[in-house]
Amino acid sequence: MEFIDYIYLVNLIVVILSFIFVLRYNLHMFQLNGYKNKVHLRWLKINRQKQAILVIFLVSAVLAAVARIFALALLMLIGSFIVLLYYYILSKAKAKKKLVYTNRVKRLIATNLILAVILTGLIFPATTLTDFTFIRKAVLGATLVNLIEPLLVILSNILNKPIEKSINNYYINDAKKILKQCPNLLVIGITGSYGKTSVKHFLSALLQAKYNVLMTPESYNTPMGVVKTIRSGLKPVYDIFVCEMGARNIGDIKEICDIVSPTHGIITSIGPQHLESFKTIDNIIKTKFELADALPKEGLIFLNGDNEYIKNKEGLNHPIYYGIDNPNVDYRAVDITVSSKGTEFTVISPKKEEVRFQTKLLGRHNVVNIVGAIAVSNTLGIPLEDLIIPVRRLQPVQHRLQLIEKGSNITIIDDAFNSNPAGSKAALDTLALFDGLRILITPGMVELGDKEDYYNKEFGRQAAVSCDYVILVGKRQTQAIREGLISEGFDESKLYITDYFDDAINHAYNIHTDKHKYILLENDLPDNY
Amino acid sequence: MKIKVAVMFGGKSVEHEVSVISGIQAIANMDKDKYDIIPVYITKQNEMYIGDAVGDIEAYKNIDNLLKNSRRVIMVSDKGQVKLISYPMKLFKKPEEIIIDVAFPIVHGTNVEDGTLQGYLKTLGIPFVGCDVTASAIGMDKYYMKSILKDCGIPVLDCLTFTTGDYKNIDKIIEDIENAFSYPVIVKPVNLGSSVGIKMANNKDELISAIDDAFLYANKILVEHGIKNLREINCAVLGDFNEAIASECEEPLRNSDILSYEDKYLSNAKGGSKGMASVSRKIPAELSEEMREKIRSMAVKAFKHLGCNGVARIDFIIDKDTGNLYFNEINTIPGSLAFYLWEPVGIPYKELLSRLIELALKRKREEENITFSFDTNILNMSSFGGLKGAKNGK
Repeated sequence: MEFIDYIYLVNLIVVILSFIFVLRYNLHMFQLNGYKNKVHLRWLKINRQKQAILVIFLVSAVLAAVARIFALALLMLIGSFIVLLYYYILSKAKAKKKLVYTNRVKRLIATNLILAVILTGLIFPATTLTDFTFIRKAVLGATLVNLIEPLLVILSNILNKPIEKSINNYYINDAKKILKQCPNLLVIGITGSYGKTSVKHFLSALLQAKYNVLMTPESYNTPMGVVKTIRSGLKPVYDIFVCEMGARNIGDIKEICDIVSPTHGIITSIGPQHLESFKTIDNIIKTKFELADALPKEGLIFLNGDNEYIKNKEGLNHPIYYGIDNPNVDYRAVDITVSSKGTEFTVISPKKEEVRFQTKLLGRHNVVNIVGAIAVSNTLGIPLEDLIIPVRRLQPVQHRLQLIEKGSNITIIDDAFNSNPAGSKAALDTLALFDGLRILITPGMVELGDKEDYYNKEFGRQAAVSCDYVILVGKRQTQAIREGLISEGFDESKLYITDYFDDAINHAYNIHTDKHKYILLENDLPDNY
Repeated sequence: MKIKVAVMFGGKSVEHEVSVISGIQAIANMDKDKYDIIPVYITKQNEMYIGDAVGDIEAYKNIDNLLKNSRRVIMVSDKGQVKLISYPMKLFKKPEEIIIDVAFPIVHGTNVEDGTLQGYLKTLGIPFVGCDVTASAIGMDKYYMKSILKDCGIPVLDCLTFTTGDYKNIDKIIEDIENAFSYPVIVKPVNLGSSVGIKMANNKDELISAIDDAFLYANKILVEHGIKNLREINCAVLGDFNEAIASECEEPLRNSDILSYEDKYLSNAKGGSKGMASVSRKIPAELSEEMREKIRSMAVKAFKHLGCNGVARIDFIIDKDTGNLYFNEINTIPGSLAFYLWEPVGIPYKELLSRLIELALKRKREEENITFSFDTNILNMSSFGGLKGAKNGK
C-alpha cells in the first residue's frame, strides 16, 4: 500500500464514523416524525439546510473519482472530518425526546446497514479503471452512500414494511385476544382535537370512586401505544379501560376502534389541530366521529355540546351532551366562579339534580372537561355526591396549565404540552386572572397548515391584552406572533426574542419588579421543529 | 380472564392449624366464576407451598407427605406484577410462574395476623384482603387497642401492663395489681389471640401462677379486673374506615370462666376441621333491641377508629351485675372469617368473600391515587433544563 492509500484508509474510517452519526440523527428525526415516509420526506425538504453539509460528500466523491492525487485525498479527509464533527455536535445537543432504541429502530438499523454495504459494493464492478485501488473504491462507495443516507432511512423503512406489518399484526391480535378474555370490561374511547388527555385523567380519577380503571398512560394514543397498554397492563381486576385515541389522518380512530371495540365514547372537542395532514376541518370531524360509528347499538357517545363542530352532528344513536354555554346539554355546569385559587361550579344532571363542585384546576376549559368526566361517571352509576371528593382531589395534568410555585415571588404556569388555538387562548385568559407581572414565554404553534400564520398572529393579538411581558423563542417561527403583538400596540421594549429556551427563562427570572411574577410557558416544540 | 386470588394460610403461629381450616373452608366457598384460586400454604417455618394437595384438608394429616407432593414457591414483584415463582430455581429450567392479582391472607395470631404478613404483601405491592399494617398491628396488641378506643370514648376495662423487665421483681407486680384492682383479675399476654395464656386469678397464689404462665407466651402482659358474672357477645363488621356495616350478634357458650383455646377450637369439633364455626353458640344472641343496636353501632365505631378494612370480629363483655358493656378485643382476621354472623343478615359466605376481595382492590386504587398526586408536583428548575433542552441546531 502506498502512502496515499493510508490517507484513503483513514478517510474511510472517518466516513464510516460519520455514517453512524448521520444515521443516528436521521433515525431520531424519523422517529419524531412517527416513522411516516411522507411526513419525513416533507420534513427533509423543509429542513434541507440542516443537512446541506452533506454536499461535502458529493464534492468528495467527485474528487475521489477524478484522480488519485495526494492533495485531493487530503482535501477529502478534511471534508469528511468536518461532516463528522457537525453530526457529532448535533448528536450531543440536548434532546427533549431522545431517540429510543425500540426493536423497530434496531430492525431499521440492520436493514440500513445491509443496504449501505450492498450499495458500497456496487461501486466495485462499476469502476474498472486501472488506477482504482481497492481502498479508493471503498472510499468512493462509502462517501456516496453517506451522501444519500437520509433517503436510505426511508428506503429501509419501505423494505421493512412487510416485517413490521406482520409483527404489528401479531401484537394487535394478541391484544384483541386479551380483550376477548375480559367480556365484562367496559372500554371507553376518548378522542378530540384537544382536551382528550385531560379528560382521560379526570375520567379515570372519577370512575375510581367505584370501579377499577386502567387507562392508556402518558400520551399513548396510537394503535401500537394502545396495544402495548393492553398487553402489559390489562389485568383481570379491571372493570373499565379508558383509552385515549389520537388521530392525524382519516381512518386513525377507526383503526384503534377495530382493536379495542369501545363500548362508549367521548369526543372532547373538534378544532383545527393537525390541519397539515387532515387538509380540511370536515376531514377532522369525520375522523373524530369514527368513534361514534364504532360503538355498539346500545353504546353511549358523550359529546362536548359547546363545540360548534360537534353539537350539530346528526344521526347519532345515544348522544349525551355536556357543556357550559349551550343551555340544551344533558349535563351542564352553571354558576362558574374562577379565581387564581381554583374554580367552583354547579352541575345540573338530566335528572335535574344540582351539585356544587370545587376544584383547584384553573380555567373554564377545565370545567368543560370535568363536566364531561362527571357526565360519563354519573351515567355509569356513580351518584353526583360521590364525585365531589374526587373532583376536589383532581390534579392538573403535567404541563397542562400546571401551577408550579418557584420561591415566594415566582409562579410558573406550565402549559408546555399545549399547541392549539383554543388551548392557547384559554391559557392567556387564565394568566389574565392573576394579579402581578404577567410574562408569556412561547415558541408559537405549529402543524396548523395554511392557517398557521393566521392563528399565531391572532395569538399575538390576544397576548398583547393579557400579558405585561412577552418572550418569544425562535425568531423565524414566532414572526407572526410578533406581528400580532405590534398590531395591538404592544410595547416593543417589553418584548424579548431569543433562540434558546434556557435563555428565555433566565431572562424572565431577571426582569426587575416588586410584583409577583406569573410566567406562562405556552407550548413546547419537539426537536424536529 | 378471572381474577387470580392467592389464598394464604398457615404460618408461624400458635393458631397454625386453625388457620389451615379457615383457609380451606374459605376456598371451598369462593365464587369460582369470578376467581381463579391458588391455595398457598405457609409452613410453620414461613415457607410457601402450592399444589393440588395444598387445597385438600385431608392432606394436612401428614404434613411431610403434603410438602413432598407440593411445590415450594416464593413471591416476587416483577415489572408491576406479583408472581409466585418456584423455588429453588433449577439450572436450565424456566421456573414455573403464576401471576397473582390479589392476596387473601387467612392467617391467625402473632407473626402473621399482626401486620407482619400484611407488611410483606404491601412491600410487594399486591392488593391484599383485610386490615392494613397499622390496623393489624394495633388489633393484635391489647394495650394499644385499649388506648386508642379509650381516646374515642369506647368503654374498655382499665388495665396495667408489665414487661419482662418488671418480671424480675414479681412482688412489686403483685403489689401494683392489688393496689389497682380487687380480685378476681385476669392476666393476658398482650399480643396473643385465641385465649392462649389467659387466666383468671381469684387470689395471690393464682395470680402468681397466672403471671408465670402469661410470660411464657409474651414479653409483655396485661392485667385487668376480672368480671365473674359476665356474658360475652360477638359482632362482626365489614367495610373500611369510610363505610362499614355490622353483622348479627352471637353469644358463645362457655364451659369455664374464659372461652379457652379448647372451647374455641377443640370442643365439639368432630375431626377438628370446623374451626370457629363449630363452637357452641347462640345466634342471634338474646339481647334487647336497644342493647343489640348499641353493640352493633359500637362495633362499627371501633372498627373505623382502628382503621380496619375487610371483616373483623369484635368481642364484647357485658357485666351481668352492673349491666355495663365493655369492648374486649378485636380479631382482624376472624376464624372462618365469621361467616356465620353474616348469613343471618342476608350475606352468604360466597358474597362475603367477594366483597372482601373488592374492598382490597378499592383500597389499592385509593392508595394509588394518593401516590399519583405526589408525582405531579415534583418539578424544579433543574429538571426543566433537561426537559426543555436547548434549541440547538437551528
